[in-house]
Amino acid sequence: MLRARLLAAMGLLSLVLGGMRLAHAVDPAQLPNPVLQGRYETLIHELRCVQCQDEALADSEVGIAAEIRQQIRTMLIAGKSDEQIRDYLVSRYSEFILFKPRYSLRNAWLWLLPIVLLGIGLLVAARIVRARRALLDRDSEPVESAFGEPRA
Amino acid sequence: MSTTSLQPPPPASAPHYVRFLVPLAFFVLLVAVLAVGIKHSPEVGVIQSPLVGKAAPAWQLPMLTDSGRAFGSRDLRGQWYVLNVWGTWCPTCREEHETLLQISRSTRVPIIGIDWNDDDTEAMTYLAKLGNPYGTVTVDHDGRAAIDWGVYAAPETFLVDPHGMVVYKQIGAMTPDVWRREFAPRLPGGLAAGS
Repeated sequence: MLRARLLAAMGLLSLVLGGMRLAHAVDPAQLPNPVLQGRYETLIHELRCVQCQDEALADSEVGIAAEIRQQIRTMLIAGKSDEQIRDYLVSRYSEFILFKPRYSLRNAWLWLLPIVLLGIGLLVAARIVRARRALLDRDSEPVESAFGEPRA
Repeated sequence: MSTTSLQPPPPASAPHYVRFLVPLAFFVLLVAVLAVGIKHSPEVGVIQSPLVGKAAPAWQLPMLTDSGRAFGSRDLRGQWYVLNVWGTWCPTCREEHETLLQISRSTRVPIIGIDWNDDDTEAMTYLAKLGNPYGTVTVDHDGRAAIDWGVYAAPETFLVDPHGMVVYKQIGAMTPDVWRREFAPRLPGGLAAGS
């Protein structure tokens, strides 16, 4: 009886501990040196989990995310640069895997458009201000001369 | 008169209709940009594979039935093949299994399986029970080949031509309709026959 209870308690404990391990360490693996580990941490935070898609690779417990993290570790240890690793994953999963899109000729307009729009807005604002200022000058003139002529 | 007195008179140089044309031009431009964006936006959650139209990755994996032997792109050079990434843990793979069996019976293009992230024994039991549509089944235990193929959720099915180029990729279940619409027309007549 006591033994059965002990066994049950142990079973429960191992379940809880197992669950904790799962919940905690999305990635138990450590790279052999801190520089690599640092680059690894940065990479997995700037890359998207391809299955869950709104999560970073770093935060995802999905199988494919773990496999891609493993692949990144392997490539880091093999001496690949961050850019080579990004390029490889982009060649497989498209630029979608990068949280921050790359600056390219194709999406340049996306970056430049706000500046152009701001420029247009400033021009329009300047014209309106100038027109109103002209109006203000005329304010001091007799009413007749400013608005006397009927509009067409 | 007093309500309009703050409005500046229209500049003499710009005719009246210009005031309409400029916003109209912007509106048309906006509509065009949005229309293109909507038309080209993929289904939510679907990642368009950059591999389509490019060379398939060179791959080699142990065979399910004989883990001592390797099988891969080298064995498939010079022929059309369908590559299906699946797993016994994947419910949609089970859904498409009947279609794969039908295709294997009615066409002559080999279906090569990559059993991804799976237990070998379970995979063999699964195929023995449901039937085996695959010419060859290989196993990918660590996802290395799956990543190389840009796979992110099973099932995914590729069509590869004799030059080793990826011609088409189906994300999600293979259906008779997908086969008829996307795969069969891309295959030479003799191979797709009977579908």
